[in-house]
Amino acid sequence: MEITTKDVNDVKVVQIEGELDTGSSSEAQSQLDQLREQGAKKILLDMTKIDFISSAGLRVLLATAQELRGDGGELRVCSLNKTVKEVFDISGFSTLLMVFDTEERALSNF
Amino acid sequence: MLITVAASLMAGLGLFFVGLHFLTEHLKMLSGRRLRERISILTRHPLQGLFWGGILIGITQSTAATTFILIGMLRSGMMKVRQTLPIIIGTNMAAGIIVLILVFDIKIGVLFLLGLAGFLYTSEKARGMRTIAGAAFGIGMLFLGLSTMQGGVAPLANTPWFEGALQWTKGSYLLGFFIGACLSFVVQSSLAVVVLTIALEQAGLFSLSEAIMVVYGANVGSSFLTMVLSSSLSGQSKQVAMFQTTYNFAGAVILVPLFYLEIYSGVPLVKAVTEAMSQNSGTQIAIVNLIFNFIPGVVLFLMLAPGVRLLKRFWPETLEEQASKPKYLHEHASTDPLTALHLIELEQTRLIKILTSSFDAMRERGNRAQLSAFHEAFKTLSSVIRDAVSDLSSRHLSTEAYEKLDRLLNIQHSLETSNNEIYRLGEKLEALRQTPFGNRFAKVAIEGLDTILLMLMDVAKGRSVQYAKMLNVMTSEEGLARVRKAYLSEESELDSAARMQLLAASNHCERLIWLFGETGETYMGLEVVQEAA
Repeated sequence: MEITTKDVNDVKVVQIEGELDTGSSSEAQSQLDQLREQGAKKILLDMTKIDFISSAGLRVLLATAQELRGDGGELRVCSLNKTVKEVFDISGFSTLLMVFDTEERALSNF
Repeated sequence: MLITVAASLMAGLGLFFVGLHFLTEHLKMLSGRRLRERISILTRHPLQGLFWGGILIGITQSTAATTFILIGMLRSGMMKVRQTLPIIIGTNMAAGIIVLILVFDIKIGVLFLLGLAGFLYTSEKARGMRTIAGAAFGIGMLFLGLSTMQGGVAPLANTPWFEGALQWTKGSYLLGFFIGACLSFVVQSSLAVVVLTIALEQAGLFSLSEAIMVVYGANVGSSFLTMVLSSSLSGQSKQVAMFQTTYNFAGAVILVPLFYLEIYSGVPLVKAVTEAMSQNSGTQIAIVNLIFNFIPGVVLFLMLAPGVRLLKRFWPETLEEQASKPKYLHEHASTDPLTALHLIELEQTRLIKILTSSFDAMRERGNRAQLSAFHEAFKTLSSVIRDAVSDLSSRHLSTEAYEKLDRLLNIQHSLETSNNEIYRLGEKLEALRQTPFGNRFAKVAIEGLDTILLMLMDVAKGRSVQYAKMLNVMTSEEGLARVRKAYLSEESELDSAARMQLLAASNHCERLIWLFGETGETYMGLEVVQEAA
C-alpha cells in the first residue's frame, strides 16, 4: 500500500493506493495519526486508487473522523470506485462520513 | 464376499457418523447447567472416572464406542478433557477383564434401544422426551454402525487365509505382533483375534510366547480403528481420541521390550507371572490380555497432568472451542443477582465476538467448515447463557433487576436470530460467488455488515450515546436497497437464478441490519434501567 500526501490550501489531501484492509489498516491509521499530530485539522482522503476497503479500513476512517471532530476539524472522502461505494452504502458510511464524487467538490467550502 | 464386506463397512461408517452427530446434537440440548454440574461432581476425582470407565465398557463392550460417546459429551459442553481421560483409562483396564468373563450379547439390546428411541422421537404424545430419545437414538446408531462394520467383516475371521496368516507368524515374534495388529484392524476387533489366538494355542499351534506377541499386536491394531474414525476431528475431540489411541501404543512401548528381555535374558516377567497364575492356556492368554490393558492404565493415570499438557500442545483447542467456552459464567460464578446480570452481559458480548468471527470465516471462499464451527460454538455458549438467565429468573429479584433481565433476554433472542441469519447468509453468498458479479456482492455485503456489527460491539461494551447514534444512522440508511437495485438493473450480467439468489441474500442482509439496530437500542435501554436503579 502506498500513501502520498499533498497540501491544498489548509487541507491535507491523502491518496492511498491499493486495498485498505486488515493488513494495511494499521499503517494507514498510523499515517493519519501522524498528520493530526503535526496539526492537520482538515484531511481529504482521495480514494481514487483504493481498489477495495474492508471493515477494518472503514474503522480507520471512522476513528480518524472522530478524532478530527474532537479537535474541531473534519475528514472528507472523495472519488470512491463502484465497489468501495457499495461497501460505504451497505455499512451506512455514505451518511456517516462526508463523501464526494470528485476532489474539486470535496475541496470546495472545506 | 468382498463386495458384502465393503458394503457393510460403508454402511457401518455412515451409521456411525450419523449416530455420533445425533448424539452430540441431542446431548447439547440436554446439557443444562444442572446436568453439567451433576456430571462434574460424579467425575471430579480421577478415581471416580476410572470407576465410570469400567461401568461404561461393561455396557458398551467397545473402547471405540466409549471414546466417541465421551467425545460427544465433550463437544456438547457436558465434560472437560481432564474428566474424560480417567474414564478412558478405566475403560481400557476393564476391557481386559471382559475376555475373562462371559458377557451377554448387547446387540439385541441395541435393536430394542433403536426401536424404542425411534418411536419416542417421532411420537407426538412423547414430545417431552424427544431430546433424550434423540440422544438414545444416536447411541443406538453409533452401536449399529460399529456392529454393522464388525458383522460385515466377521466372516473374514473364519476364512482359511485368516487362520493361515496367524499360523504363518509361528517362530517370528515381531511378525506375530504385526499380523495380530493387521488382523485386529481388518476385523475391527482385538477380541476376535485374541479369542482365535487362544483357540490356536490350545490346539498346540502356538506357543505361549508366540501368542503373547499376537495379543499385544491385536490390541495395538484396535487403536488404528479409533485413529481412522477420528481423522476428521480436531481440538479437544482429537485430544480424547488420541489419548485412547496412545493407550495401546503405550502398552506396546512398555511391554514389547520387556517381552524380548524375558525371552532372551530369562528375566521372569509377564510370561512367568502368567504361567505361575494358571496352567490353563486359555486363561494364560486372557491374563496376558488383561496385563496389556492394565499396565498402560497405571502409567498414564500417574501421568495424567503432564499427559493433558502434552495433548493440548499437539492438538490445541480450536478457535471455535475457545469461543464456545464460558469465560464469566461458571459453576462458581457469583450468586448475587446484580453481579450475575453483569456476568451475563459480559458473556453476551462474547457472542457478538463469535458473530464477527463468522464474518471472518465467510471472507474465505469455500470455508463452510469454519462458519459451521462458529455457528455451533455460538449455540453452545448461548445455551450456557440461557441456563444462567433461567436460573436467575427463578430467584426473587428487584423490579429493576427484572427489567434488566428482560432486556438481556431480548438481546439474547436477537443475537440468536442473528446467528441463524448469518449462517443462512453464508450459504446464499457461497452460491452467489460462482460468478464474478455475485462474488463482488458477497464481498461488499460481508464488509458492510461486519462494519455495522463492530459498531454494535462498541455499543455493547461502552454504551456510549455517540456510538448508539452512529449505529442508528448506519442501520437506518437505505444503502443496501440502493446497492440491490443497482445490481438487479444490470440485467445483462444476471440470469433469473442469480437474481433470485441475490434477492435471497440481500433479504438476509436487510434482516441482519435491522437486528443489529434493534439490539443496539435494547443495549441503550439497559443503560436507562441501570441509571434508574
